Amino acid sequence: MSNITIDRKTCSDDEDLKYVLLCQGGDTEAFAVLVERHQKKMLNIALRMVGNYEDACDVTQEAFVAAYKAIRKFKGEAKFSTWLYRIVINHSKNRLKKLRGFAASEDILSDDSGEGGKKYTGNHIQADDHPGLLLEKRERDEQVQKCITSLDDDYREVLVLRDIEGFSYEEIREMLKIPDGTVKSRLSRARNALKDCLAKIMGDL
Amino acid sequence: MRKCKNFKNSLPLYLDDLLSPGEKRSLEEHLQTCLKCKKDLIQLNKTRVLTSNLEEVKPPPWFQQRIMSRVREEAGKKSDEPKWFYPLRIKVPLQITATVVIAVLAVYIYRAGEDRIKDVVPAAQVPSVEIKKEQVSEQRNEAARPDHYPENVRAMKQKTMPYENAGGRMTGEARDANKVLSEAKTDRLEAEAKKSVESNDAFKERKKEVYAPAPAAKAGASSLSQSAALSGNVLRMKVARVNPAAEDIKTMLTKYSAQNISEEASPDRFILRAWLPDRNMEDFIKQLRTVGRVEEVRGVTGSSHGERILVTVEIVGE
Repeated sequence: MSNITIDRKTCSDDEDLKYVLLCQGGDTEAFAVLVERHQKKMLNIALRMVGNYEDACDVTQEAFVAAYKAIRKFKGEAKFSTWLYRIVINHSKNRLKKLRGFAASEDILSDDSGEGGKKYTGNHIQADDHPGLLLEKRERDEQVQKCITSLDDDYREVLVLRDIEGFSYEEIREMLKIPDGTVKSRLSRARNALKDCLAKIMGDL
Repeated sequence: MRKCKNFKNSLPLYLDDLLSPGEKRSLEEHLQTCLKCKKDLIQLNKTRVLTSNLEEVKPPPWFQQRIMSRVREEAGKKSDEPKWFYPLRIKVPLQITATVVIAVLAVYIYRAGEDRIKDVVPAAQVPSVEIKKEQVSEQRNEAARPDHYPENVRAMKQKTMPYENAGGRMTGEARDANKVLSEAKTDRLEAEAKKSVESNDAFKERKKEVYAPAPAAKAGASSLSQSAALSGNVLRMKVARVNPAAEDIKTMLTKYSAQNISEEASPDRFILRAWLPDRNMEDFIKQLRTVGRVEEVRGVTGSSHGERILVTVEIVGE
């Protein structure tokens, strides 16, 4: 008994829907497929949002479990992935609130330790062929992440979704439930802020 | 320049070609002359490159497994969820209700059993006196054990007083009821756990049954032995003068570590009841013989194991 009205969707969405339907029907193991298909994306969104790998792993797991618990609420009005990523974004923001509760807010430009005292560890970057370059890249990535972490939540999320994860404006609107104009103005401010931050800590870009 | 401020928010969008044609033209014009904005644009471009080149991270190898084990846990929880049901149209979890019912019943049955032992000996005359004495002894016992029972049971006890005094039931019924009680106690508790909690009225009905008020049975001079068949030893004594003898025996009971001593006086007899340690029973009876003639000794054997036995002494004048 499906509560989804199936629209014309892309191939991959149809694939997702198949397992979502199974899950809604009580097949728990069908969820494993959905996890596998989306875990990398979910983790990366979480990572860019919370700023460190450990918390990102926690958040992503929480988000998946929450998605499972709520799977019957998915009605197929949007893509399953959009629905799913929205959950991880919300959980990321909640985690940020918690983290900020523990640590005094740190000015990224004066303090090296980053969000909540946890460092973004670059150990999970996909291997490059050139170790020297890899190290340099890792360091650079860390600095970029620090600056991203220093942005306001609202700016950060549009920047992560658009400039890092590459979602379309339509998808971003769906995920964040904000109008198009808001997406654009926030993105604009986010990019400016990021540019200013990077220019300060990296010198001339 | 003044104009730079206007273009600050347009610059980032210029890269994505998100500006309207008018805005775009205006910006490009400005860029031709403004070095600062040109520089900003270049930096925005580089930032963009940096962000889009951020490496994607991989999940740890155990990631999917861990998620699925939590998911399976959730799936398990869903099926185990305790059912709700609605006693008194209040949503209460089954387990809690069952526990409460069992606890309350267990305490109540225990109390009821105990109380029956203090039943007034049915005497033909003066029911009111007996009732009073009964109440007095009840209250005394209440006072003696203030912390013994939870609030709700004490409250129940208050409620059952009217039933006690209402009378009309034969002690024979009491006997049966008590038998049922002691034998079927566990069965009853199990049955109770399965049933839903009754409404207040139904609950009172049940208590009436269970309690089976015997004390007010006044029909004729039903002998002590009937109510005594409930449990314990019954001793009938003939003495010269009842009241001094009663005093002596009371003293003796205390001497032999009796507890919950209760007494009932009527014009022609005096009844003392107490819980006496089993080991003292023999000595106590010996001592009784010094006070008067011990006529009957009736007892239920096999109830001792280092416990207390209810002893009832009926003192009658010569």
